[in-house]
Amino acid sequence: MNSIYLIASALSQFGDVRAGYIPADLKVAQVILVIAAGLSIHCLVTAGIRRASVAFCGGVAVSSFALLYVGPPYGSSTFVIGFAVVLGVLTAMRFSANTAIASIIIFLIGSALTVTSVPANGQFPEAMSLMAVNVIAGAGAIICLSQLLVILNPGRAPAWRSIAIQIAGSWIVAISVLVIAISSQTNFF
Amino acid sequence: MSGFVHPVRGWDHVAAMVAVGLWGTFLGRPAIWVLPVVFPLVMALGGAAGVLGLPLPGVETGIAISSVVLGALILGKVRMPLWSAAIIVGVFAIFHGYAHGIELPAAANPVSFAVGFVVATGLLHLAGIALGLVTALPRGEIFVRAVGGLITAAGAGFLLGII
Repeated sequence: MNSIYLIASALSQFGDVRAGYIPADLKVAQVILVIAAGLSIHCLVTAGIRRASVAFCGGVAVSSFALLYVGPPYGSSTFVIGFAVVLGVLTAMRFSANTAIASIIIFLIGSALTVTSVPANGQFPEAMSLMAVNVIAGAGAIICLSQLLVILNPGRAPAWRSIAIQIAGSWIVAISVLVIAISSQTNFF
Repeated sequence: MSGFVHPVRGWDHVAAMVAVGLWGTFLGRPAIWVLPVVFPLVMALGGAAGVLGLPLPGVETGIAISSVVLGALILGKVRMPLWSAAIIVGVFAIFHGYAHGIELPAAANPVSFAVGFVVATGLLHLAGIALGLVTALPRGEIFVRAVGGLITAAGAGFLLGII
């Protein structure tokens, strides 16, 4: 119950999009990324908590420097949703990555989360603090979702739980593909 | 909400979605999770084709045939290799996805619509899986095969325009 409450609290920060802090396309991409990353715990657990933390922070740091010196990449939301598709496929397949692959995936999650946390407006100090808050909140949501799945324990749980997680992974893929198709056709964002 | 109720309102969709879960349970592991995973993955591609406006003839016919075929496979207790079962389900998923996809751009909030219909589709699969679990009960298999017969009959009704 605590995990569900924490997830709800962390996800509530996604309401920031209404205040104009984060562009709508990046926010949609961030929500999809957070859920996909949280669900893919099964393939990431081999990295271990210490290596995962280092990889995640490394991804955030590299992305932050890139954003600072190069600026946000064009079509970043599409790339992030595309990455969420990969995570969803891994979840649906119950893919088990080795330590190196798991660390690379976590590095990319940190990197992608940072890219989707760039505020639409605001000057340097304020924008950086807003971005930091978004990254931390996003990471918190991923950890809470992962923790919930650890409690459910898909490895040793009754079959229906692991089936439900795999099906949820396929939903993420389906939703991501549709969002990419929508964003390419309409002026929704 | 409109996306969520879209598959549920159409009985042709409901029958086929439930049949996918039901057939997966009937085939046992790993089909019980492979089929409900394959369906939304391929359905999204069909949905994307619908959003992009690519032509696909005979969509409604394909949806009706999906109920007929999937119901008949359950009724006949047909066991086949996993890859061929996945291909059958995947082909039908394209028609279902396309039918949803062509309505996406016109939706008030296309992203919510997409989320709604994917989740509704998945829940219908889970309902089919839950229904299929009665095969563990005495005479449960007969019940499940009878449901397969009903789905086939309903599909024939959709195909002939009776229902």
